[in-house]
Amino acid sequence: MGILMRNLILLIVLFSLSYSDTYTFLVNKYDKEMELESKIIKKITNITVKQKVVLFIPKITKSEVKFYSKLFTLSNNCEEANFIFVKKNITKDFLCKNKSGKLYFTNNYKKLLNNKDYFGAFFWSKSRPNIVFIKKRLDKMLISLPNSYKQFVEDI
Amino acid sequence: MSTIKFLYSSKMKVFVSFLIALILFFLLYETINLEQKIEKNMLEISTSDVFSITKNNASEIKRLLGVSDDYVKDIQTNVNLQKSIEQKLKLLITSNIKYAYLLYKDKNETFRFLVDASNPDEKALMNQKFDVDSQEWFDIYVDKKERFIQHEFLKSLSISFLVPIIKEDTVELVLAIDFSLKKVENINSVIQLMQNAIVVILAILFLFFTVLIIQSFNYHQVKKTAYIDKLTNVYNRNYLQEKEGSIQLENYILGVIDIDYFKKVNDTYGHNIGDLVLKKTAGVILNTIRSVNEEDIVIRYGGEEFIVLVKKSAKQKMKSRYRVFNRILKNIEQYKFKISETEDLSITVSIGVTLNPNKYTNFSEAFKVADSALYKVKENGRNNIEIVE
Repeated sequence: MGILMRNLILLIVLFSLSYSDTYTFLVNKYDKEMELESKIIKKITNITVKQKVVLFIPKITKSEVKFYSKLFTLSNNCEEANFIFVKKNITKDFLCKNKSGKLYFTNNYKKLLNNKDYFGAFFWSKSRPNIVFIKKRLDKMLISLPNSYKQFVEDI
Repeated sequence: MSTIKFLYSSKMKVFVSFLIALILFFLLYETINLEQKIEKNMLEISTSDVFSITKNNASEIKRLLGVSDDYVKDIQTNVNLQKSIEQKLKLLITSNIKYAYLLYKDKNETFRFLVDASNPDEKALMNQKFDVDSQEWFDIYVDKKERFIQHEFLKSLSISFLVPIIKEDTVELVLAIDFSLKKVENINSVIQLMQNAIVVILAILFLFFTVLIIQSFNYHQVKKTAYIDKLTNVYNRNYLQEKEGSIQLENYILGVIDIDYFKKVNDTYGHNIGDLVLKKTAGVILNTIRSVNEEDIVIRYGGEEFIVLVKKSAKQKMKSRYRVFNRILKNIEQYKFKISETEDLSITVSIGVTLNPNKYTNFSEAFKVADSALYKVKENGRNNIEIVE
């Protein structure tokens, strides 16, 4: 009886292991994309912001807080931040009244083209991570990117 | 006897378990290899039609562009041409093909969209930059051959298929389609089913082997108990009946040992002391032969009679072959059987030995000869050995 039970437990463990990958897949997908995004934003802030970065993400979610708080000092207030990453559709109330000394970044290519406040965007194009900086806006903000980032600069 | 002992020893059990584990690991390794081969083949089979259709689509786009001098400029400037190409690309979109788009590479080696058949939410703009994720995108401009790229790190795409559109031996455009994970997931679900079946088979095999080992071990334990005399802890007559035919007589010297005046011991001191004498006598015999050879066999033939089969050694001379029986005789004679706190008992044995039992047709015949020799000792006053060649 004992042997039978042991073998039954072994079979259950084998089945659980064979299904465990599929079970965790969806969780992994979302987390990995968010993790990658936060790391890319960290690299971008490192080369564009000279002072200590205080990040403001309007309408920030709990999972975003989880990843971004590991890399940034987060702020709930636009006025206190020096880097604003706009990810969702927001009204003007969410943005700062005083725009000077603040960098605006978005996750939407069309927003980047239509709103001159943004100097660049990180977004998913055909499920691949894409980065775009607008040359004129970089020049206006006196931001100089390293050579390895030149491939992302668009002269539009 | 040593071979049997080895077969049921812990070392042997560990070796057998290790061997089974090795076989199971080999089967698992082969299963993983098989899965990879099946996945590759299934992927090729299930995508080959799509690849052909995509190549035809690329040819259709080339036909639409006709004798244009500059494919890129013509598409950028001609809205109707853009719409026609987009219609063609839309035909490629299915539940498995997530994206279909046409790209060009600018003078700065940057890929840009010309036409995108994606839904409005994901549709790229004309000339929008596209950060490619593999060197393969650039290689297509060198070898000018279509290719598929398997994505290891992208979470929602499985493979991409790229077809070059060539004009005057130069790649002008690249038609790309991206397969969603659904395709691979479907293939994987079939493989998963196979994998589960294989895991179950392996588990059943493992279960079978485990039960087999345990049962065979238990069977031999029970069998061993049935062959051992409980009082004296030597083999009993059942063992002799089972093994009689398989004993290689040429390898042994056969001795029959009988305790002298055992009936008197029983009658005088009672059966408990009789049993004690039997037990201790067997102990002395075992201790004496173990110092010579572990392959020797001791059997309680019945009552106070024991059979001892002493293994011959090639190096031993004839005389030394039966010395062990002399030692048994002396050791029993010298042994003090403690029958109470104050009283010891001394007993003797008579021994009949046949040095070459293989001279006789079978074990029974050889035993009869040794037993006759024992009878002679009994007639001549006991506590002695009679040897027959």
